[in-house]
Amino acid sequence: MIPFQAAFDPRDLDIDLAEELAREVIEPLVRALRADGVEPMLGWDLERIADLQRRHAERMVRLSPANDPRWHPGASAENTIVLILDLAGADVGCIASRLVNCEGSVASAMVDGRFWYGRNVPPDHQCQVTAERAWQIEDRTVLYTASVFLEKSLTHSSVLAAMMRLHHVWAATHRFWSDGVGLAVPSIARRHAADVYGASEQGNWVFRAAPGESMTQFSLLWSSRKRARALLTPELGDLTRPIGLPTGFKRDGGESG
Amino acid sequence: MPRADRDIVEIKGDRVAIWLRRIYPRNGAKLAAQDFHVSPHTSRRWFEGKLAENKHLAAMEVRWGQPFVAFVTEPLVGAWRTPDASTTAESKPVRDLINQVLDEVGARERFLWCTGDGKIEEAPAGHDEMARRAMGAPAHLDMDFSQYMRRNHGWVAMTRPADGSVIIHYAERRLRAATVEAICRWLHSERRPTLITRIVDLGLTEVRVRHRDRASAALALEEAAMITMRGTSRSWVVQRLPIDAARNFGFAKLLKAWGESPNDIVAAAAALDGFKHTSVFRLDQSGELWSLIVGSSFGLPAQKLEGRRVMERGDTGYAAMIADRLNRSLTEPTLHELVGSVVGVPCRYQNLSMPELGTGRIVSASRVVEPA
Repeated sequence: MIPFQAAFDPRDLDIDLAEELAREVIEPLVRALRADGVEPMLGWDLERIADLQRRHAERMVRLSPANDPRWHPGASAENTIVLILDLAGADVGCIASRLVNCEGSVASAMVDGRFWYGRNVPPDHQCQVTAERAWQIEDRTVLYTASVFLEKSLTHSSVLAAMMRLHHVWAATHRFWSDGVGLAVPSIARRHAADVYGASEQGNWVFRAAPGESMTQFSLLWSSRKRARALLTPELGDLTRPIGLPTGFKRDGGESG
Repeated sequence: MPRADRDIVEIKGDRVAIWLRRIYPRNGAKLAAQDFHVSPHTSRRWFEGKLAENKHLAAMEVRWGQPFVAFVTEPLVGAWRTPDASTTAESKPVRDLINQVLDEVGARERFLWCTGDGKIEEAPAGHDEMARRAMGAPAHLDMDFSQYMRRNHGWVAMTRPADGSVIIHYAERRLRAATVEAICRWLHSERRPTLITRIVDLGLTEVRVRHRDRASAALALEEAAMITMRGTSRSWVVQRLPIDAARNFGFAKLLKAWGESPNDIVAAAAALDGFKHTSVFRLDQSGELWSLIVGSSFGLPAQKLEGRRVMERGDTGYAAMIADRLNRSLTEPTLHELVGSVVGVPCRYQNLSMPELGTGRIVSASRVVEPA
């Protein structure tokens, strides 16, 4: 794992855009994290995610099989993004993404298990997908984001939002994919799909059971690459503003001021 | 503590931390604690930039000797160059005099940054230290701060070693015209450099290119700024093809000519093609590759390129690719498919390269396909 800024090198952006992103987005977000004593680190070591999940199993209830090193021992820089928050040498937060090449639709890959487990799908895997969007995305490279976690002592501040945004910027500028998807439990998805996760669409539903577990219901969060790139504006570095929503917009549908 | 003194303590603390991290890349705090008989807590603080007590600094000096002392104190001579506002009026002339003498005898290594908007600033405590401060990053963070500023802010690191040379370090596609203009002005305002080295960060690798004069370096920098302006540069993808496939791309006659007379392929290429689609290079005894003839159909500025070393070209990624490819063609013909960009213009072409045995010359024939 290396410091986030050491990994930040958006080669396909021209210098003016790269500098604007660095100055207006990356640096304010990293500063916000440092104000809480945490340093964002980037790499592809899924063991760190699994370790965090083991240590915080009461709050991080499950580890997505797509981010489980037992199923993906060959995870590499080319197909994995792991962002860890480091507080004085201890991991206190994380988010992870995998690049999944889907032959056929995303939904069919989820149902037959390849999406989560790769080649070694366990026999007791179960998944049902009703989210229409997952059936529409076909033969693409998809960015699947999961394993969002933050230690309880940091949940009071904007650390989660800063971590999510840094991950978003890096994924949108350093890797090629057509569609970004994620799963969130319905209560979280209803509240934060747009303003924290940066998703442009919230679909119903994906039901999945890990081996030995009962079915869990998730909302499918989706965003196109175009939309993800469109969010790369200086506003993304302003943690007082929700991602992609008008300034002053209130979640209950009203408008302030 | 006055601000200037505080800065010195901080700079020395940072330098000790950098030294320790180099000496102890793993389990540093634990190992340093054992070596200097302090608690791990104390040594961890050294790694974070807290300056060690004098007795521990003395122990470090005994252990590592002059190199350690030189490394830790090196920025402080420079640090006097740009005195802080709190510096007394009496001491300033003395410090200026010291700087002036050191500059005149060329005894002092100087570090400068050219920022993205073309301002040149001294970095008395080194490039990394100034970059770190510009980023607002903590001293104990183990990363290349300079690289971040070069890649994301378009800064250019310049070093003036005591030997009179100049080192210019930048990231490809990040060099703005305003920056180049400022660097060229600075180069001409300085005492004539003995050697100018460009270090170009290509992403996964860095390439060092030496220039013997200011004009050659300036030309390369201007070309590099052109790539930034066009904004469409892409990394080269090089695929070697079986030589038998050469006939599929219209190289059959050239390849046959090489088979019949490998010692005279340049003349054969002239007769067959008139150097329209073929270029000629030469590898000299020191391993430098020179452009002798540039094919007239490629749309490249032949006058600027002919008679010049390949690596002096401003498009360092392209130059490095040519050098690498031709070095594989020193004993036998090679065929490649190449996708990338030339000075910011995307292109794709097939290339047959053939050595003229015994002369060090290489004929390079290209068939340019549609822009990639």
